[in-house]
Amino acid sequence: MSDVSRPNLPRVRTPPTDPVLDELWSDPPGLLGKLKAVQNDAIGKRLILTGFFFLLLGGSVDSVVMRLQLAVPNNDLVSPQLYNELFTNHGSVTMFLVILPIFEGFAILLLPLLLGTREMPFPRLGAFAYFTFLMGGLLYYSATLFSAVPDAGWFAYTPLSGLEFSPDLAIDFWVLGLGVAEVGAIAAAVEIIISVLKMRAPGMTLSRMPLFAWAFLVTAFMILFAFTPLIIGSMLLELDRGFGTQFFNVDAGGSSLLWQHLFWIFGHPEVYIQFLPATGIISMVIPTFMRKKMVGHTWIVGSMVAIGFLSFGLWAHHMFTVGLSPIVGSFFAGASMVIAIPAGVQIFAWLATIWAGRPRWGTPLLFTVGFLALFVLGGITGVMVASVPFDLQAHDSYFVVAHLHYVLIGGVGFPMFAGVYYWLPKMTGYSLDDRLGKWNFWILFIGVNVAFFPMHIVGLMGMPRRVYTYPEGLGWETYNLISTVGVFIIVAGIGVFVVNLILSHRRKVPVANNPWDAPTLEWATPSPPLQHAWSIPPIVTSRYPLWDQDDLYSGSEGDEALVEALGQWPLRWRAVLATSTADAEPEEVFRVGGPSIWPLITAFGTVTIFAAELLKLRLGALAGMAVIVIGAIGWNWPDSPPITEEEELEFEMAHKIPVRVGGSLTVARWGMGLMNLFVGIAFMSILLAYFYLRLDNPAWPPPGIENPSPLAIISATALIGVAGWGFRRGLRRIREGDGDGLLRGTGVALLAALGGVVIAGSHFIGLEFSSQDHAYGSVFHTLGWFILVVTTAAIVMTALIVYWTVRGEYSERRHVPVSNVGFFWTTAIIVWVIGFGVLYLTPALT
Amino acid sequence: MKGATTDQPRWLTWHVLVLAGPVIWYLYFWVVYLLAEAGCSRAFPETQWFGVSWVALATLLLTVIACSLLAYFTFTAYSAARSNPDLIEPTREASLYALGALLGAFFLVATLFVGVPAAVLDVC
Ligand code: HEM
Ligand SMILES: [Cu+2]
Repeated sequence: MSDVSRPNLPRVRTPPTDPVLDELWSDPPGLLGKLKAVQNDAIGKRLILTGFFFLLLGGSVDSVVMRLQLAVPNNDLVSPQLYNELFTNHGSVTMFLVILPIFEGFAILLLPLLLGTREMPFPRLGAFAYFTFLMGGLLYYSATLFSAVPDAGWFAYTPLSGLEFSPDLAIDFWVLGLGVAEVGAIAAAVEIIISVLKMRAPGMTLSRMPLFAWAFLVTAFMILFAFTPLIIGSMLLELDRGFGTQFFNVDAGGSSLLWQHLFWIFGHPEVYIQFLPATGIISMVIPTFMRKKMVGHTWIVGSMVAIGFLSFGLWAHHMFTVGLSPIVGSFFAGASMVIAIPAGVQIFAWLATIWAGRPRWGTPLLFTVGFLALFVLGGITGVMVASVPFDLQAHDSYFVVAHLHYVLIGGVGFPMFAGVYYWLPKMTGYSLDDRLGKWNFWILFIGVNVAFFPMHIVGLMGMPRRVYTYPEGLGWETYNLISTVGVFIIVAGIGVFVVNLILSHRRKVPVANNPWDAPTLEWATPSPPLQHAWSIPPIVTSRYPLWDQDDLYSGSEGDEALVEALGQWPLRWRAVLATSTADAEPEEVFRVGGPSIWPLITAFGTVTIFAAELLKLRLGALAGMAVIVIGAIGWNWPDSPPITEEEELEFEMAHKIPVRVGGSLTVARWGMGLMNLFVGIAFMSILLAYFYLRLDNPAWPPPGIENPSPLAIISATALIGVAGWGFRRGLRRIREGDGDGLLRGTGVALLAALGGVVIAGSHFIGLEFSSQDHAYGSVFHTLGWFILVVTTAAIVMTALIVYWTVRGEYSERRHVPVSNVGFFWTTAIIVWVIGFGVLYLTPALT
Repeated sequence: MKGATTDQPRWLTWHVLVLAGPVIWYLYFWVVYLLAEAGCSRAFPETQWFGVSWVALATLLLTVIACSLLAYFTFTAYSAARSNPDLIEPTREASLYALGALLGAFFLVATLFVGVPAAVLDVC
């Protein structure tokens, strides 16, 4: 490969505007400034550090204590109860509070550099994601202060997690604390999706996009599709616990399997949500260290997408032992088998690249090879437990523990280390010690095998998981002792890592722009990069721009002039470039949000709702809701634009590209689209719950409950229809510049929708059965109120539109929020019609 | 938005060709799964027609339909990839169509793995 031997070429250009832009993009100083910070560097670093902090707190202490307890038979270091709490905490923390935030932090930190843009699309949403995640984690951990530590396993199966068997607050901490963190995960996912699809450098077509970005694109969609059902499932569990509904109460028409389904619809994709980002990192490290372009790029992309979709058809392989019908079991077993294909394709592509390249044995490459070794073993045991007869034997034994740790530590932990050793010097500007890195690797690698390999054997010998001790004489002693020794080797390995970090910070050995001679954009920037990363956005003409391109600023004449101009103007507001989805042609210049305290306040409102539910202070939840509404309004309040419409027009004329100081059109539309998707998935999850409960009950509605009369809902539906029509009319008027027409249309929409919600709401309050009467009543009320809440959200947005219309905020050119609210109305109406249709019409059909 | 190749209908854009495979499989999987759950439930116990369970029949029928659709899209994407060399249309690279073909073929296999056992297994 001759094209690879041109170290440190090309680089970013450093125009005289560098310092001005750097200043413009910096977060404000001081403590208040830190709370208002929105910069992707800051948010990304915080997410990673917080995840690591939770790992030390929950992941490591727990596991060491558990292993000490199991080192010898009949040990009494910890009580059975404490042991249950330890493994619950260990599993929950690592699965919810460690891997996910660390990877989302990686994405938020690195994507703008890798994609050649200046920021994430909604910096304030990023800040919100961080604060909700942090507060959710702390809320979860505060269980310890109330000595009500969750103990029902990381999947909190009902009925064990129900009120009857877990009467204290422990499960509430689990549900609610992690619930907040899940909201944060979804918010960050929205950021990631839009940045990857809409904010790439000109010329970075989808086919030229780095595999890292592909991996995170798929992951982020999976987060949206997996965490939303979990949030709904947790909500139903909390309704059972706090409000006396009967979703999971078998005696009243509920179903305990419903929880398992909702949990694993999240739970299996979750393991790939953790794994795919790892493959993204590996796919960046291998080409760099093998000095070879990736073999089978498109095949790897295909595998990532395939895994993303397929993993949603695997969940019930965690439920083979609950008595699924044979045909259902075969669906899931079939899907679990084929997932070996994309996983295998990826591994072959990596191996082929390694085979063909010339290795440079840096620490990141070592961790990559370690990853391959461990992950292949873990994948094989995975396919083993995915076959029904084998699983009937191995389920709930230490074999499963061995499987999951090989895939999680080998498949996720090692790539994480690879990523840190690879990118940390870029972000801090200081190098990490390679020799210590190698020690770090070898100690960890040996430790993981010593700790987890014996578990395969004791598992097959019949040792069940989640036991706090075991008797002598079953031949398990030696293996358990070896495992415990292994854990201490792992601890030593992590110790070396921490020492390496500290030394790097002390020694401050500066690194070059591109110490590894890597091919992707981020390595063209200084180490550490400027706040805004790119004064002049790069132009991309290759998958490996730093290997193939002579410089980063040559492209079509129009693109060259545009990126050059963006280095000069604007210097007073944070401008970024949106590009088209497939071809990355410049589409629009828009302003991203600056520092703001509102994300913190909104996050605080969110956590207040959950905390109030925890303490059963229902008024507190209302207060939290109010804080959220106020926060969201403050967050989106239109500040006076820093330039006039004429100035916008001037740049537009010169570069034939719209300038939108009042907020992006395309990106905002994607944001609203994802919001609608979120609402839609939540809605489908409740419909799924409805469906399961329906199937579990021979009579629907159950004896003693009458089908309610649909009259009130029919008239309310008519009013909602009028509202939708009015809003559309208003939107059409403002497109022609008619502000009065907008006011009339949205005014009608507001009044009609209010009328509809009041009628439907009072009908629901007057229903003859309550949400506590039978699972039918529970799901009826929950689905009904869900619909009304969605419509109410549309009403609040409409009210704001009406207010801003009166104040004359909108014009023919500037009315993005109006079209967005229109988009939301479409979703709200679909949810309304289908939802009430299911509640009032389907019982008559069956 | 342009179609994939000049002689293809306009709605066959790269979005469609890339997403057809995964989306068809995803919908297929949910439908056969929910049907099977319903067919083995307490509310609508399994019924047989001429000794054949309707759940198995419906599953096989849906499998055939899904496979035909997948085959069609896979083939279309494949031909689009072949007739769109990078040189002719440098921005909309053939690799997106190739991606569509790969995904289509894979989900065709996945559909067979999921659906075919219904021909031999007991249903409930
Ligand atoms: C990234 C890769 C993977 C990760 C991170 C992972 C993670 C996990 C985890 C955490 C569990 C334990 C769940 C529990 O607490 O019960 C588990 C169990 C399981 N895994 Fe994996 N896994 C991976 C790959 C696979 C593969 C490729 C397969 C098979 C195709 C598979 C099949 C299973 C099965 C069937 C179980 C349930 C075993 C039982 O409880 O009886 N896994 N996995
Ligand atoms: Cu699984």
